[in-house]
Amino acid sequence: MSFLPYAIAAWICLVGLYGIVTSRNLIHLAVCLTVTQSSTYLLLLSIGYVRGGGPPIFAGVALGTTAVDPVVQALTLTDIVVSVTVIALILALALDVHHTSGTIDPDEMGELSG
Amino acid sequence: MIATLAPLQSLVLVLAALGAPAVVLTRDPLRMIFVNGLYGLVLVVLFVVFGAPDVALSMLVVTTVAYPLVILIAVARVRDRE
Amino acid sequence: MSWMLPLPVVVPLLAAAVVVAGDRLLPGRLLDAVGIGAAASVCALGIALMLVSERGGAVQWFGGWRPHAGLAIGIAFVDDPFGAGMIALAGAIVCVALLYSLTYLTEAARLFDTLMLVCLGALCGFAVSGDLFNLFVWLELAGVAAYALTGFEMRDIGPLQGSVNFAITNTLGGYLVLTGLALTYARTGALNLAQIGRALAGHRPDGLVVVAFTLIAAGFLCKAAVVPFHFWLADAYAVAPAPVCAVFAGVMTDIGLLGVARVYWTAFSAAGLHIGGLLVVLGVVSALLGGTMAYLQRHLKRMLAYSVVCHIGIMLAGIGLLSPRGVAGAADMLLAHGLATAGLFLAVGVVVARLRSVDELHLHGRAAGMHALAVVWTLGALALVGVPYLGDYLGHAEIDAAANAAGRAWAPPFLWIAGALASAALLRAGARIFLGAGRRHDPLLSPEMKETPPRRGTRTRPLLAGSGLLVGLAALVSVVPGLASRSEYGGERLVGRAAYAAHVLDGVPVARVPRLPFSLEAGSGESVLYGLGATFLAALLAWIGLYRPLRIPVGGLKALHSGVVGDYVMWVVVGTALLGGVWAVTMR
Repeated sequence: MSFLPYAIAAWICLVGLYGIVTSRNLIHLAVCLTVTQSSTYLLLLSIGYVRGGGPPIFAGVALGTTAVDPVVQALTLTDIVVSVTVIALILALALDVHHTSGTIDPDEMGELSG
Repeated sequence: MIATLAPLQSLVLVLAALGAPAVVLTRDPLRMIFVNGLYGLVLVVLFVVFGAPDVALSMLVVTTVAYPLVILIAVARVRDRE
Repeated sequence: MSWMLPLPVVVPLLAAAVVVAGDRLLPGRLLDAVGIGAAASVCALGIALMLVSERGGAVQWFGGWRPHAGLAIGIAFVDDPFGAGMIALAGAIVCVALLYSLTYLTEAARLFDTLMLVCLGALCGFAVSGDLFNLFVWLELAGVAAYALTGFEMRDIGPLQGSVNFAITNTLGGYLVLTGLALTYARTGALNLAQIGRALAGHRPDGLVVVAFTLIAAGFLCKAAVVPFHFWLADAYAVAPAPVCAVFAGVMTDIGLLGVARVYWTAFSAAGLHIGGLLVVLGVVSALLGGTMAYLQRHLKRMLAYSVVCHIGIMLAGIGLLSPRGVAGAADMLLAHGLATAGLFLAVGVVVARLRSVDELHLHGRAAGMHALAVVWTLGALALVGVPYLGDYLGHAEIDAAANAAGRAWAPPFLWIAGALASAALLRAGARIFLGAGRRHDPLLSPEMKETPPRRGTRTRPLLAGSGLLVGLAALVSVVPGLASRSEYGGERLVGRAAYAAHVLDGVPVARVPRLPFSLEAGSGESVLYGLGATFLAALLAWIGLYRPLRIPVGGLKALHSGVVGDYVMWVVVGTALLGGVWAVTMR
């Protein structure tokens, strides 16, 4: 039971990768990239989770109260911010690609072979 | 190191596991915005039950405002030029 | 001296903010000066930090969160010779690239300067970071700036999906690093590299550690473009403007190798993984494949891009020898190769500005009057092959010695041959373009790409000066007195895990070294022979390419590099599985 979060993180990561590999649309591909990334949120949070632990907010709480690990939450927060930046940038690039080559299907652009 | 899970958490995890393929297999970008939003909300609930309400708040903003907005703009621009 | 450590990050980021905020408020010349001055001061800071690192080193804990009893909560910057050297190199190349872009780029130069400075700041942060998560953050920041830079002015420059391929594969690489570091944190409860190293020491390696290191290494190797993670590189370099290519080839790509080396030696070398053999094999394969692909190109930027893959492979092999000497060889080669390739990319920029083409066959004989550029190009090609006492030679010689010491004497001949292949392509292209030699057609080469470079001014003298400066510096690397002994000292510092941990966690100053000699590395007779042989081979292959085009089946090799991002991502997955599989099997 306790390996469930790890297994599901791996599953989501693979599902996202499958989407990227088979995608025929750069916008769809960018969203698949966010799905791949969501596996890292899940992994990070389940690593820091403590059974019965409350959120790591220590105002008005007795000393010694169990809480989940705040470090991984900070990492997740950074991760979310980074992902939004990257996705916005990839979509902007995709728009430029569409502007010049008239398609957003990676398979139809194949001018860069060799 | 690894804590055992409550049934609620397992349930949300399974929902997330089902949500990811739903997003990936939706090939139409417009529908995908909607499905991706739902998947994002499942993640928000997941963050809450894993004891990270503040992360859940920022994820809520990202998944209901930021992602749909940028994807919608991209889809609209592409449709305009076609 | 620890106050100096954040400066190489702070200065360019502040300068970037000033350049953005001051646009339209301050005179353009002043803003140009701010950017260039910031890059130059980063170079100076890098050199100063190198001197500090030889005299005991420095650690900066942000916010005063110093470690207690070996537990680190704060975030550290750690000064070591290689990190500081990387900063100096990055500052120098970005400085030259910014100067170059004053003449080269016609529009929106403000945004360009800003992105370059952000990229520089992030690279410097990566070079001195002592914290695994911060390595990831700096890597992503440098990456985001780099994706935007690749797309810069790209409306003019043809097939754009190169920049998308670059962004997607490298973002994925970043996620691999992140997943790996999450698993590392799960095992050790630490993000500080030194503390991870201590936590892993003395335990038997298990599956989790192997998976964690595999993911981190695969992510960094994506950035470094090692086979089979290399596919994005040629696509990205083909579309990026010349000064951007110079920065990418000079420091961006190589930083991935520094990442692998740093994380392995400070943290995972304690876990008893056997990573050396696979890294040497991957290095040799990258070198040979990169050299071969370079030889098959007619697009000058793609040719140089594959030559980068080739030399990254040689450096990786040096790191895979797992000795201070091997790492020193990789570092010396990184210096010479970074400067030479950056200079050559700037030279391609001169050709584009003058002749509006980057196609070897199109340009046949059209640059006959550009003698100075011809000299720079030839010197760059020879520096890359490693003619004895020129350019890459010192790095090659150190890797030869390290390989003999490690019982892997089979590797160096392949590395020399690979370098010769890449340089043969450059010499062939030079002879065609500047001398009008050889045939006008060659069925062996990849098909032409549709390109319409923009009309530019023809004031190419300042451009030529930048290119010549970098190539000239690169050529001299092998004869800098004392460089070999200093880089070996740097190698020992990088490899010494216990001393690093004591320095970072317990505040023990690094033992002062006796004054390092300023002597010239002689190199063994074997290396001199290899160097001469490789030079001859490069010239021979260039001649064959010009006058006796080979008819060998290379369709499969070209088809692999399909330009479709889905294929590249599949290779990333395959490569990661390969690393993990081999390391799991050879685990102690």
